[in-house]
Amino acid sequence: MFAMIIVSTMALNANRFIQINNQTLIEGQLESQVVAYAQDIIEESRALAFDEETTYDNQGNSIVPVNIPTGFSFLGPDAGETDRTQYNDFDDYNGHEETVTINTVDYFVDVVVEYVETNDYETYTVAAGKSTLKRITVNIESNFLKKNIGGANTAYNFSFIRSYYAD
Amino acid sequence: MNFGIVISYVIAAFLTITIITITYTVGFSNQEVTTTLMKKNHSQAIQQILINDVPKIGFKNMGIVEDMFITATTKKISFKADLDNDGDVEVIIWEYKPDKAPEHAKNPHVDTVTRTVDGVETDITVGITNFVIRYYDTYGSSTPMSTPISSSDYEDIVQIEFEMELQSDFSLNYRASDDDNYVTTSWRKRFSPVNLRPN
Repeated sequence: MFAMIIVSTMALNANRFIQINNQTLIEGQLESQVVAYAQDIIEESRALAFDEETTYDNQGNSIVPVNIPTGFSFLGPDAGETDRTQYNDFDDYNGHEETVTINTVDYFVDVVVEYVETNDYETYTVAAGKSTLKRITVNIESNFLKKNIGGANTAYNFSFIRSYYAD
Repeated sequence: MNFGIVISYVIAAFLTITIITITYTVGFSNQEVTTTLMKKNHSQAIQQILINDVPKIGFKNMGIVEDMFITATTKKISFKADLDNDGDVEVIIWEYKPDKAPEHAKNPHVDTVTRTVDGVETDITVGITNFVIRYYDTYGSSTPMSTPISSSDYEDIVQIEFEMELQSDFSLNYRASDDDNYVTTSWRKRFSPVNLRPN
């Protein structure tokens, strides 16, 4: 009887060990894809103009608003920009949400863009109004990436701060 | 024979079988983990080279290289860039060769990718089973440009996506009768190189 209890305990521990192994394997695989996709969005947003008011004219020259930063636009997509292919400036990604399927795994993506304070180099708190710094944060989750088995999805956040003057 | 002894033998046999099975299963799981980590390391090594090369497309000191693309197909991309910032523009070629299996490969699906910099070719033979290159003419588009891309359309390219799949060189089968099961890892990334920006 005692031997059976010991062996049963061993079997249960082994199963737990294997389950943890499998979970770690899957997490490792999917997390590298999460990082890659977040980088895709950040790189893409950086390729666009800093602001709707600084987009390019027909000659390819960047327009400069008279007053900086108050002349910048409000965050989010502008009129007529209904999907990602129509975005033409950095903050158009604010509020962007999509579910992307990569190798049969669904990832839920949402993006936030905010103006941040220019004199707070430690925490970059959100600015009350407009500023010359914008921060993009890409949040990604997947049903295969959970904090605990059966628990909530792990939220992966990736941020990048862009300066109007350092463009 | 004493009934108690028979029962004891049965229980002992059952326990022995259980312990052997557990040992085998844990060993197999460890083998899976190790092989997956190995493949992930291989994949990351290739990713790092791509991340070094692709964002520099068209780069040269104090300017942008004219006619930066030479070839753009799903299996091959060649472009110009001053990779090491030494003032000389190099020609870089990434090519997937699905018909060229590495000599050591035991996995029949494994092919070769070559990276060539100014004529110096390096074979990448770490278990690549698929390598696809896609080109986009609009940021965020889900529809790639049709390939091969003609030279007149090179200037329309704004994003380049790489997708690759790697498999282990040997199969991991729980039972000898199982079909060949290779550990697979895949990665997809879309680059938005600075020098491809329309403005």
